[in-house]
Amino acid sequence: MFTDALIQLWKDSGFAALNWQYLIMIAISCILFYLAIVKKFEPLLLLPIAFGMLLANLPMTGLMAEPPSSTEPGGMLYYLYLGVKKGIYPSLIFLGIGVMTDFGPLIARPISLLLGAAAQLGIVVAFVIAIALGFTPQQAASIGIIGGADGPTAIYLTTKLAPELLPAIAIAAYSYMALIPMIQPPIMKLLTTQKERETKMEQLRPVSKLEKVCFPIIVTILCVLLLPSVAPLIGMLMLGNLFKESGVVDRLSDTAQNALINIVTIFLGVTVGATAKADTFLRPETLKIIALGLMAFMFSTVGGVLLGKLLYYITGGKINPLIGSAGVSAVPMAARVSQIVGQKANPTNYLLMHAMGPNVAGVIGSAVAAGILLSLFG
Amino acid sequence: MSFFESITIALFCLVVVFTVLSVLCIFIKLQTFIIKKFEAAIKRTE
Repeated sequence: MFTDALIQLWKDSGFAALNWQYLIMIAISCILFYLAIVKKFEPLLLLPIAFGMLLANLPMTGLMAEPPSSTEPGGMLYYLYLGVKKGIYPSLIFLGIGVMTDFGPLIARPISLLLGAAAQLGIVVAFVIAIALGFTPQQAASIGIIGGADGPTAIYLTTKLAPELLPAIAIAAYSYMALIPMIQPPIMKLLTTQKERETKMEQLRPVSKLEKVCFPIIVTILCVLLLPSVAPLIGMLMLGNLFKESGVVDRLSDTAQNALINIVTIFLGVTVGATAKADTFLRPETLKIIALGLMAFMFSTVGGVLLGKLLYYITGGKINPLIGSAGVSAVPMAARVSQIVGQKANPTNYLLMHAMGPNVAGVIGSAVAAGILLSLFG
Repeated sequence: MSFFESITIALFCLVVVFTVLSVLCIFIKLQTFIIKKFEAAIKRTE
């Protein structure tokens, strides 16, 4: 009797169902824990992703299980995942990002928008190579968007076009964003001369409050009219920014940039991680996605720096080409890299505020690119 | 999708991104111009 109970307990436990695939996934989640906790690689997202991956790969939990019938409930994470599936969480994260973003440097120098556009080069290069490697257009577009260096946008587009690739793309996007200080500087140095890197830029003009208040309204009207598919992302980004710049809704502004974005980040991270099951993740395609993601990041940096060089020559040396690399979004990490590389070339150089213009332009640029890809392949 | 088609789509995407952001750039400049004129007019009235 007692032995039968023990055998039954063993059979019902997760240990009985463990196989080598689950063990590999648990090991991968532990590597992500290490990267998030010890190396501090985008810990706000990578830690919940790793834990979601761990939970989903402990057998018999049924956390991501769909409801077996209309009367029985599904797994807890299944319901939370609906926010990812329906594109709600990335848009809400954009609301918080909008509150935290200062578009002042962009308004002061609107030409920065072109740098933000050029730094989307990696998206299209990775798209072409992914097609050549045999991915479907929807999958290739989702892989390419990693080059936008914008996690919520990558997740938004992937859930719409190729949800089966979501865990690999989310992990690649956030890992490479954390690795920007290592990926970008060699490319920036390779493409620029010492003289170009030493260029000091004129101080930006002050931007009035009225300009800052009008900006989100104008961007929303224009972008959404031109590309209606970007409405969820650009709309929320600009709503958040209007909360901040209007100065009349401090409570909403505070909630969007603190409580709301934190709650949504937890839900997004855990549920995206929970989609990383062995059967969808342990495939050769995952390695290809990781390699293509790196390539996308590199080409985006190349695109930004090359247009920066062009602007350097057109303006007669008034624009430092290094600010072009900040066009890859990843706010504010990419702008900091421009500052660090610029200051190494010339210790009296302060590029941070100049690089913030292309940096926030990159957020708009990657959302626009996602909208185009969604219109074409959605 | 053929390789040639993918290059065409990629170029199309890049052109549209540049177009949208260029239009934005022009409108921001226009916005700045109008606001400056508006603020100057208000100052004159005061």
